[in-house]
Amino acid sequence: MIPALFEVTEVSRDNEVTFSLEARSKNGVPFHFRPGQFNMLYAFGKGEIPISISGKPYTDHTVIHTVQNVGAVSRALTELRPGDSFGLRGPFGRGWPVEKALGGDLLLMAGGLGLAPLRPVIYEVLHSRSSFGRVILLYGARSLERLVFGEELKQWQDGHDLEVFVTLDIADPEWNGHVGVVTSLCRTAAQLIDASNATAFICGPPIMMRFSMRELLGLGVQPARCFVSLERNMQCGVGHCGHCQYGPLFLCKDGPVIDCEGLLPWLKVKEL
Amino acid sequence: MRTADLKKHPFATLFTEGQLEKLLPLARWVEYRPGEALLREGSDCDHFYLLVEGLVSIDLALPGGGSRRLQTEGAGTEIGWSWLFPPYEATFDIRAVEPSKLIALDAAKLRNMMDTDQDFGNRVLKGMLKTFVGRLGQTRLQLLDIHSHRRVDK
Repeated sequence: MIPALFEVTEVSRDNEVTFSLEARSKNGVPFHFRPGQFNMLYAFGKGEIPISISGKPYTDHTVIHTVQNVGAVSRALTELRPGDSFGLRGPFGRGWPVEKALGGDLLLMAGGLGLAPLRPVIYEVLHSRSSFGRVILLYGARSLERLVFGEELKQWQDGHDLEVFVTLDIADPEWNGHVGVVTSLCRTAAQLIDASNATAFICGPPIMMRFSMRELLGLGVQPARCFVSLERNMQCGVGHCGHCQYGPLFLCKDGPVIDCEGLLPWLKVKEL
Repeated sequence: MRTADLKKHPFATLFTEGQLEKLLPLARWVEYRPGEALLREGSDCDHFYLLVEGLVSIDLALPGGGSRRLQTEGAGTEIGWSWLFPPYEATFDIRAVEPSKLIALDAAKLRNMMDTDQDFGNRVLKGMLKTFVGRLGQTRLQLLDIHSHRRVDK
């Protein structure tokens, strides 16, 4: 697949190292995706990296990616300004199985920038809110400065459609919310839902996901209804190159979203 | 206070109906407003709290003034462990962050009940140990700074 040319239409700063880029196709072709899918973004002269789509899934002509500056390619992407262009291949992979949560409770658990691939799920839930039971978002960030989507988090907290719990690993005295890692919120959330019938989506740093998964399964969430989005070295995007192999899975096409039932045996394999 | 009130907290699931009945005379409801201290470092730890509603913080006073908020605990958690061992003094400040409703259990009577009814004591210790292990795990993750362990693009 040859990268399509996209033009940045808007840039918003989410925190000191994270930016959201809204872009549209230069040839005017509509762009559709499922929440949880990712694109390969090509910064000219630097390289290509996988970035999750973080915008609304039901808009036709724009696509939003939230990028954290953690290396040469991501730095180049965060330095793009309206009118600049980049290459885009995608969307790739299997997204969040939102349909499995219909009619039941949904628990979303995010750490740091892991909220970006879950934001389209939230938009989809809010779009058809009556189709779901209780919807709970547990979000953990390192500090207040590292929160992403702060204004939206506040809107979601102030609204009545989601129950939002935000925790910081390290908090300033003026922070009047939860302090501690995101897994510390699980027990509170478990009191609000019927864990054995709930669907859970987890996304964040790998260690956070591993422990969150363990915590949720311990509280009664069924492994087949608990999903994580795994971050690997995606390159071709279609399962040919093998860079993203995880056990028997090619995460670019079999993932990035995987159910815990399929994942559990591989979590015990060290250095995988 | 009725056994139905005790059952508003998951700690109650550890006990038989008969043991819950015995716990009733030790228990009373307490409420704290945001900013109010349940315990201060060095103060007598004469109650064991079950947080039913609200949010409390574990704070550490810093030299020269001010304090650092180390962790918070939400509804469904147990608060205060220092009542279990001498000198029964709080090792951190515990403060309400949100309006908080708790069941306060008389610590001296609870210790006495644990000594005289070993099955009851064993259940209390198992419940608390589970909480300790959970909180120790969370503290380890906090120390690890899980957000720093991310893939870097070249």
